[in-house]
This record gives sequence, structure tokens and C-alpha cells, in this order.
Amino acid sequence: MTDTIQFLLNDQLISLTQVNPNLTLLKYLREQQLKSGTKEGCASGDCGACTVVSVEIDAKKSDRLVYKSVNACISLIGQMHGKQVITVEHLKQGDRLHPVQQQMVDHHASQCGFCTPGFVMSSYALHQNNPQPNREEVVQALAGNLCRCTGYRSIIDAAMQPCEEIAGSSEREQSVIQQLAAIAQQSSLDFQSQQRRFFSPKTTDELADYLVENPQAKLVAGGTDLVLEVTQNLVEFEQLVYLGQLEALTTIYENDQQIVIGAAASYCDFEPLLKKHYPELGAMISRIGATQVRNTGTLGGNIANASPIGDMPPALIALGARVKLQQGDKIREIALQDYFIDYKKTQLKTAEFILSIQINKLKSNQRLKVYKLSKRFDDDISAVLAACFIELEDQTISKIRIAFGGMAAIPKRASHCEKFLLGKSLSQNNIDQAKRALAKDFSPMSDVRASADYRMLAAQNILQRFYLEILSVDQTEEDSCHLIRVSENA
Amino acid sequence: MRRLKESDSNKPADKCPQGQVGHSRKHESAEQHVTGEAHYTDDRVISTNLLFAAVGQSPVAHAKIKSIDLSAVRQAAGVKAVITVDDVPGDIDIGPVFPGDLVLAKDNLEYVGQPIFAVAATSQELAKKATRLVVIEYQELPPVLSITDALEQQSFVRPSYVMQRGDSQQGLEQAKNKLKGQIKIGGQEHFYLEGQVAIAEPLENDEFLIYSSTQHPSEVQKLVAEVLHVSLNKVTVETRRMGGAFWW
Ligand SMILES: Cc1cc2nc3c(=O)[nH]c(=O)nc-3n(C[C@H](O)[C@H](O)[C@H](O)COP(=O)(O)OP(=O)(O)OC[C@H]3O[C@@H](n4cnc5c(N)ncnc54)[C@H](O)[C@@H]3O)c2cc1C
Ligand code: FES
Ligand code: FES
Repeated sequence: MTDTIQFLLNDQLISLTQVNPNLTLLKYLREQQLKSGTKEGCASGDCGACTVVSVEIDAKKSDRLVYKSVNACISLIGQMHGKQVITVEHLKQGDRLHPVQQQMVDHHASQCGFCTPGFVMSSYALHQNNPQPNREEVVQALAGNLCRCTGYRSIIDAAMQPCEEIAGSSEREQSVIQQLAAIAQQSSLDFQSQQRRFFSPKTTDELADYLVENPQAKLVAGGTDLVLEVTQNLVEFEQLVYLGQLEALTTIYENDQQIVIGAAASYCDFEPLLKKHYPELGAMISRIGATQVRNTGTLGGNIANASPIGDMPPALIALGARVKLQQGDKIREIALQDYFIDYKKTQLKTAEFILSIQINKLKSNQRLKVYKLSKRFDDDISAVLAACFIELEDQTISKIRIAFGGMAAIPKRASHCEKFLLGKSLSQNNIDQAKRALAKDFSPMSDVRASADYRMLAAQNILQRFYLEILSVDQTEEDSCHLIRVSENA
Repeated sequence: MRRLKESDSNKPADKCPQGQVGHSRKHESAEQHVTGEAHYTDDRVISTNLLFAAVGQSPVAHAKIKSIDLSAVRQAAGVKAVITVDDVPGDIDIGPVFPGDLVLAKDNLEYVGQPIFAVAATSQELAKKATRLVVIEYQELPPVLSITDALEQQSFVRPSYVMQRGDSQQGLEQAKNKLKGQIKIGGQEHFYLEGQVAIAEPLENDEFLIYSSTQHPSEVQKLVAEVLHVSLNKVTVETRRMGGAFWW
């Protein structure tokens, strides 16, 4: 057990004891280190002005580093243990700007300049991992950064310029790897200050025991939901337990039938595998938050947060996913759809935590379609999220699961609608009736994102789109899974 | 829900010799922007005895204030001072162009978020936390939230005026085709990225030095002097740069 947070701030080794676990990385940088290049725009993860780069040893290749852009405003200081934090001050070498900085200057990509350090850091993270990004990759990397003045074109153009290798960088990386590996040798981290405690266990046994002894402790994984309580509602947590150092919770694996994702695995780590097996889900994941949020946010956090507008639960419910929960030494497994009881009320018991999520792979006659409706393409919360899973046998719907977010107090299946469709053929007539059945399943509410009427109409129209898309897949893809031949009057 | 699409590339036009029209000049602060060396108001190194201010804001769009109980706010950790509109020594109206904008609410609440009182405390968090301890009794009044309602109730922010060219009435009467309809424009306040921030340093002889992220330092000087009831020469306002501004 160590009571000292250790991380590299640029190339300086920082050792901290006696810090308030509620301290955000942004506050630490700006107020204690006087590194004011990192800005605060929103303090809620939305604008990217506070973007710094968090560097870790690649889990798959221990002689390599992975660079992740993260929002310092919603990162807790304890989450940085064992990582390197690179801030905008670190990029310039002597009088020479880093290429990503020079390109921003040359492309006139700053006006008031307040967003600029954040863009520079997002672009830097991208180029460290991928020196010659294409436009799509650049747009993805910068989607979590807002600029209100310049216009994005010049910024995107700047970030698209390839970066030449900087002399001496691989030696510097090797030294970082050595220093981070030394910190990783240490056991769990446990520090406290002013009666506030932060525990970062390394094994699930430690975690389970600690929670049984301290049932009021709050779990934090990516912090992209929880830390907003600190910055927006001024909450100070007394006990925080960080899940990011638990190998068992961050592992992702697959077998012939299933994919298993550790609850504390972040989007950036599980997105490629899900994209491979469920391309439409992959496309939706790339619209959850933006790169910074997906670099830290986790699947377990998304589920446990139990927001009616969380994006993963409806998709996973449609896939029939199951969650594994642990409390003390008891492990149980339930269907994800049963996890949610009522608004923010779940099956999770005191001292229990989510271990992993199991998702079935699709068979050749099964399809999944996911639809996210939000006002902005990137970095926006859904007004409605729909996920439709269908299995067809001899032109008949043999299995169907349709789950919605944003339509009820919990992510929920459209049971009347499903019941109507099950055993029927896929036809316009049947879809029309299924659309009507949706009105029995949901009475959505009106809020800033959408009115009740809009939500209902959109949900019905999504069913229509689903029908047309399944139809067109069948007509265009020869291979396709002896799916439907549709007769309009079926 | 549309993505940004590739547009004609916008390579820096650096073909013209230095000094000629069309020569590409970099932004004078560009290098400070990209390195994080550019200083904004909140980046100043502050003195250790600086207090942090936070305002208590209206939770409702329209109400008549019955009473404000600030005792819990005054007793909150770190709080050094609490003021209401009654503590203002000078003018309470800070409308920059037209009157009608109160520095702190008096009698009525007129919009959600309207500042009602201000707290100075030893840290930003403590100041913000303290503002939440206020107990306000108010009688809610119906807010006027649409143009239709406002016209019906003859509730105007400024006197009405007409912008007109030619005789539209006549033009419409003679028109071959007529279209009828309504359009609503979802007007929005621009959202600059830097937060609203200022630092005030009391100097000798009742003078104040104010660092403000404002587009209009002389206006801030005038309004602060009027609110404090001191002459304009007692107030100095410094603006290094702003994190965005979209007004005039
Ligand atoms: C700018 C921004 C944009 C966002 N956009 C989206 C979006 O488009 N779609 C969307 O769905 N969400 C979005 N979110 C919300 C958030 O990013 C996700 O819900 C994310 O998956 C939360 O994961 P986390 O690890 O950060 O959770 P945390 O904040 O760490 O935790 C969230 C909650 O879950 C609990 N918890 C965490 N892990 C476990 C576990 N293993 N067992 C039990 N309890 C646990 C915590 O105690 C806490 O109550 C956004 C957030 C931000 C800041
Ligand atoms: S300050 Fe806006 S994302 Fe952190
Ligand atoms: S340059 Fe002003 S916000 Fe981007």
C-alpha cells in the first residue's frame, strides 16, 4: 500500500501525499503548479479547453506509450497515479514550436486563443499515435474541442499536416516508460486528507473487501459522470474508490459466442472490437461524448450511472447483454434489462459493483441497428436512442428486441411493439401496426432536448427506417443471411 | 447532425512578398496562444489575501421578493462579506446603454440567474457553496416568455420603433402571388469560451485597479465608479486580451 500519488508532470516526477481526493487535475495544474496554459471553459467536459494528454504504457506492448487526450476539468488527481500528464507548456523545445503548434500558427487557427491550447493538445495526442492522420481521424480527434471564434476549417487544416519526428523523442519515451513502470510496480494507492480518502485497489478482492467495510464509498471509473458532481454541484466525496488500476475490471476478451468487457474498460479500448462485430454500434459509440470523454469514460460507469439517456444500455439490452456483479465474495449474473428498476434505481446492492458485461455475438440471421438522435453530431446527449435487434427465420421474425433510451425513466424495451412483431413477417403493414404499438409502450417526457411528441414521432420513424434499412440490406447484399423477402401485403 | 465536410483547402497564402497586400501575417499573439503563454484574466498570479466573489442568483423567471434571509450565508465557512443592493453606495443601475439593468436585484426578480446578492470568501468553492445557503421568500409572478405574450400584455423592453422602406402594404396588395406564414428565429446569445471574470484590487486613496475580460474597459470604469460613488479617475481598468467576444 502506498499513500503517495506519483505521476510525471511533463518530465518532472511528482509525489503527492495529503491532497483532497476531490481535487481536479485542472485545479491542481492551474492553482498549485501555476501552469495556466490549460484553460477552464466549462468545467463539465464539454468544451475541451482543459485538454491535456495522459500517457500510459500500452497494455499490449510494454515498450510503447499510448497518448490520450483527456479533460483535466473532470479528472481527479488520484486518477493520474502512474501516468504521465503532458500539458501545453511542454511542447515547445527552446525557441522551437512543436510542429502541431507551428501548423496552428501558419494556418491562422487561433483568434481569441482561449480554445487553442486545448486544440493543440488534442492534435498532439493524435499525432503521437498517428503521425499522418486523415481528415476523418482529425475531425474525430478534435470533436471534443469547441472554438467559438476561428471556425474549424483552419484548425482542421492545421491538424491534418503530418508531423516530422522530433529529435530525441524516442529516448525521452524510453525514460518515461521506465519511470512509469517503476510506479506500476507499487501496490494499491490509498491516501487521505481532511477526512477524505481515496483508494485505488489492484485486485478485486481488495476492492470487494474494502466496499464491505466502507459501504458508503463512492466508486469512480472514468469520472466523466461522477466528477461533474464535484465541479457543478460542489459535492465533496468523503471516500472515493478508483477502478482504473484493476486489471480484472479493465480486461476485454472474446470467445466464439461472446464478447466480455470489463466494467472499467474505457470506450477507446472496447470500441474497435464492438465495431468489428456490430458496425452500427461502433458508429454510435464514436458519437458518445467525444474523444476526451471516450478516452476515460467506461462501460460500467455508463450502466451504473443509470441515466435514462445513457447510450450503451439500450444497445446492449437489444443484444441481450448480461452483467456480472460482485459483492463481498458473492458473484451473480443478471440480464442487463433487469438491472434498471426505476429512475436512477438499479439492482446494485450496497457494496456491490459491476465486474463485467457479456454480449452475445450475432448469428448470420441476426442484425443490430442503432440510431442516435441528438442536436449535434458529436459530443451531445441523445434525445432518443433506439437499438433494434432482429432475427429472421424463413422470412418470419423469430427474435426481436427493441430498446429505447430517452423514452422512459430507464432504458427500456418496447414490449408491446416486440410482441406484435414476433412471429410475423417484416412488412410495411406490420411495421405500421408496430409503430402504433409503441404508443402503448412509452409516454415520453418533454425537456430541453425534445418534446414528448417529437420523441414519440421520432421513435416511430426510426422503426420505419429500421424496416427500410433491413429491407435494403437484404436486397443489396447477396450473402445476407437468408433474410427477408418482403411482400407488401403480408 | 451533419458532419463537417471537406471544403476547398485553405492553405496559407504566402506568395506575396512581405509588406504587400495579400501577404499572410500571423496573428500577433499566435505563438502565445499555441504555447499557452497568452495570459487571460484568470491566469494572473494572485495575491494570497485575494477574496473570491460569487453571486446568489434568482431561481425563477419572475417574482416579487418578500424576504431574503442571509444569516446562514454569513456564517458559512470562509465567508468574509455578504452584500445586497442596499449596500451599494452609488448607482444601482448598470445598464450600459439604456437604464434598467440592476447590479443586484431589488424588490423584483426578472430572470432566472439574476444576481441577488454577492459573497466574498476565502476560496471560489466556499464562496459558491455559501450562496446556496440563502433562504428567499418570494411570490412568483407569471413570466412573459414569448413575443405573442409580450404583445398581448403590451410588455416592452424598449419603446417600439418601426424599420421600413417603401410601401409594403401597397406592394402586397398589388402582388400577383401572396405567401402567408410565420417564421420564428431562435436567437441565441453568443457563447464565448472564456468565463466571465474580473479581479479588483483596492489601492491607496480609495482607488481601484480592475483586470477585466471585457470588450469595453472604459464602460466598466464608468459603471464601477458610479456604483461605488467615486470619480472616474479612481478606477483603472486593464484588459490584456479576451477569450472571445461577439458584440459590436
Ligand atoms: C461531455 C460529456 C459528454 C457525454 N456524452 C455522453 C453520450 O453521448 N452518451 C452517454 O451515454 N454518456 C455520455 N456522457 C456520460 C458519461 O461519459 C458516460 O456515462 C460514461 O460511460 C461514464 O463512465 P465513467 O467511467 O466516466 O463513470 P464515472 O463517472 O466514473 O461513474 C459513473 C457512476 O457509475 C458508478 N460506477 C462506475 N463504475 C462502476 C462499477 N464498475 N460498478 C458499480 N458502479 C460503478 C460510479 O460510482 C458513479 O455513480 C458524457 C459525459 C460528458 C462529460
Ligand atoms: S473546461 Fe470545458 S472540457 Fe474541461
Ligand atoms: S479562438 Fe476563440 S474560442 Fe477558439
